[in-house]
Amino acid sequence: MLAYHWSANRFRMAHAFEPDPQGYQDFESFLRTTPKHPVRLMVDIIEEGFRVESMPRAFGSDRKSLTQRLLTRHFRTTSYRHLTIQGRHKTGRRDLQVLISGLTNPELLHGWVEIINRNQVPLEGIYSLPLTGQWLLPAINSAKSRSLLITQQSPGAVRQSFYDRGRLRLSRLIPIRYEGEEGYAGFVSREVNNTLRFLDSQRLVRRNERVHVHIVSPVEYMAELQRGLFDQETIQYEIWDYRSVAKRLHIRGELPSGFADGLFAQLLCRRAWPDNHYATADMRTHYFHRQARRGLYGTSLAALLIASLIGGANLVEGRLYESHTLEARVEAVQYQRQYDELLREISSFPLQAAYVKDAVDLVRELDDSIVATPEKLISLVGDVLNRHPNVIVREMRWVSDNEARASLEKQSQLRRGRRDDEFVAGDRYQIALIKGQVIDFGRSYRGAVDLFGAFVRELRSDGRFSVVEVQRTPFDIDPQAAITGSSGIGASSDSRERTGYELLLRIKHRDEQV
Amino acid sequence: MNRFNIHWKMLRGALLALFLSLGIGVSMVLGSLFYVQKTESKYLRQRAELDGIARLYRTAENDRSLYSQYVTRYQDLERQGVIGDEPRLNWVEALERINQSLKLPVLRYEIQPQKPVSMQGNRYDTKIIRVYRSTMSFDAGLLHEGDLLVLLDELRRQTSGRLEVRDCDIKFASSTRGVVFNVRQPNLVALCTVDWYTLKIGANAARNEQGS
Repeated sequence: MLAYHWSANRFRMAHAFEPDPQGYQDFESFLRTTPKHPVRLMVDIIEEGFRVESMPRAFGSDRKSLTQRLLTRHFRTTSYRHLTIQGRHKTGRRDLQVLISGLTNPELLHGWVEIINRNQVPLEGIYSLPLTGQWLLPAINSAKSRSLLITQQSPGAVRQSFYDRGRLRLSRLIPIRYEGEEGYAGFVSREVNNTLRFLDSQRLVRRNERVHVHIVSPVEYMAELQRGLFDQETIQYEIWDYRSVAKRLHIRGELPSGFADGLFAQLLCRRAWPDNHYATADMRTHYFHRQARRGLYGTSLAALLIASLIGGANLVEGRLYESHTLEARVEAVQYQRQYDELLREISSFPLQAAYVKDAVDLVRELDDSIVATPEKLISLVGDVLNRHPNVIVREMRWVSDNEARASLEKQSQLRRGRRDDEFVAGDRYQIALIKGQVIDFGRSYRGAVDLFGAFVRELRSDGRFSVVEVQRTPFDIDPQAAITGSSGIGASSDSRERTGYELLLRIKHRDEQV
Repeated sequence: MNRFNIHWKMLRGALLALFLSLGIGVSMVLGSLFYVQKTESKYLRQRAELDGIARLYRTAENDRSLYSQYVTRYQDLERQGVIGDEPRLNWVEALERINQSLKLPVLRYEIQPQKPVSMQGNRYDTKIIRVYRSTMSFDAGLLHEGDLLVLLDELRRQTSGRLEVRDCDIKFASSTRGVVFNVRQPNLVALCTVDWYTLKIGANAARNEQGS
């Protein structure tokens, strides 16, 4: 057995152990002196068998049962067995195509695995080299064809693995045996032909199908292989130096041996979570517990980290609150000082400022609404009367109050039988009802009417009166009114009743202010 | 395939670490939350206090502005008797003074009891600021109509009150046209109604301790 330390994508040390008591003892000593890193065990032994099978599609416990049945059927005596689902048939029930593999001689591995477990080294898995070989195919451009891969992992044997579009169908380890002039190339050619005949018999290749044979060879056999192998009708050889394959796989550093085992080991180790092939749960118990411990420690760390973050954020928030509290306190003290000063300034007045303002505003509104005095109306009428000495005033009733005005207007409307539409809502008026008389008109009634008419016309022509309404004219000539009179020397010259008049005058307050 | 058996002994340390870290973590979070809540509530209290004092300050500043605009005028109105108790005696004295000056043949007056005025649709607090009206009617014998105007003007000037002339009836005493220049015999009679308006401020308008 070969043991390698692998870190940072490189192999550091290689140790070889023989499968005998001394080898086991050495291996145990090696494990005791080595840190307990996870171990990936890759097997490349003759006693590994492969069967291609079909399995009905099933799920859950049914699938588990079917799988177990297939494994038991083909590898009854070993616990190192594995089933790989490789695809589905394209016809019929579309059953699953599966590859069943197993190690037919478990004793070969048992001793090593026991030592690993005894030393509590976490065994991550036991992996089949031919199955791992599937990951090599893309590097040699053979992932999409039927190809036979020939590799040599030890001086005494070569492994032939047949892959159908990247899926392993068959693999066997063949001890190297050749005699005389046949040479290594002749041995390889013979075994390739044997394998192809077997594949043909198993109907894994079609008759006369050309198969690519990829030989990943140690450097020392390259020249001989290139000289001794020739393409045939059904065989196309492609010979690879294992170093060039390593380069294609981007493997850094030196490979641990002159054979291809290092390539496969690299392919296996570079996979983060490769599927375990042969190790049972019991064998992997230390690995599971190690993973569980790591998970628990990780969770603990994450919990502490999250708690620290939340706690830190809260701490910062709390500090900010404290800082803002301090600022607010300082500001409040400043406000309080200013407020106290202000209070001292205004405390001399006992009433609330808003009511002081309201009271002053209310008085102002009162002032605005109280504008009426009879002065203007008397002056206006007086001016016109001065130019009409034959018209005199006996009585004047002046109102400004709304209620009185309404009453007066009502009287006027009732008397004249019509509405006055000239009142405007919101306007304030003052009204005068004037009763007077026409005098000194001789005996000419017509002259008296004309004198009164001239007086009224002048009032109306003055734009400051909004209404000049004659309620009663001297010598009322309305057909509905009765006319009485006397004529002659003994008759009275001017009766107050007959020469009297009544006028309704109205001005707006704003006209009054003009 | 064998089932995986858990060996708790192998996980003891990790489990202990997990519980410990969970305990520490929960304590840290709860402790920090308590601290935040405490500081936040302290901040909110302080902030409310600041807002309160700032509001008082702004109100006081606003009051100062209002006082500077209105208090002189208010005090004038108080002095004039427009705001406060009705200066009825002043009015009577004013009427007597005016009559002494005008020497009217007759001046009879009657001042009705004060009545509150309902101010329709106004925006003031009528429980605090109340408007009153006192109605006076007077009967004056005048030598000429100018005396009426002088009488009203002097009333307004000397009482400095808010006076509104509601109505006036003027009648010439003589049926003849001629004017008699006799201080004992009036040429016309005026019967007028006048309203005096005054304001009273309720006790609720007094400034409280906080000055608002």
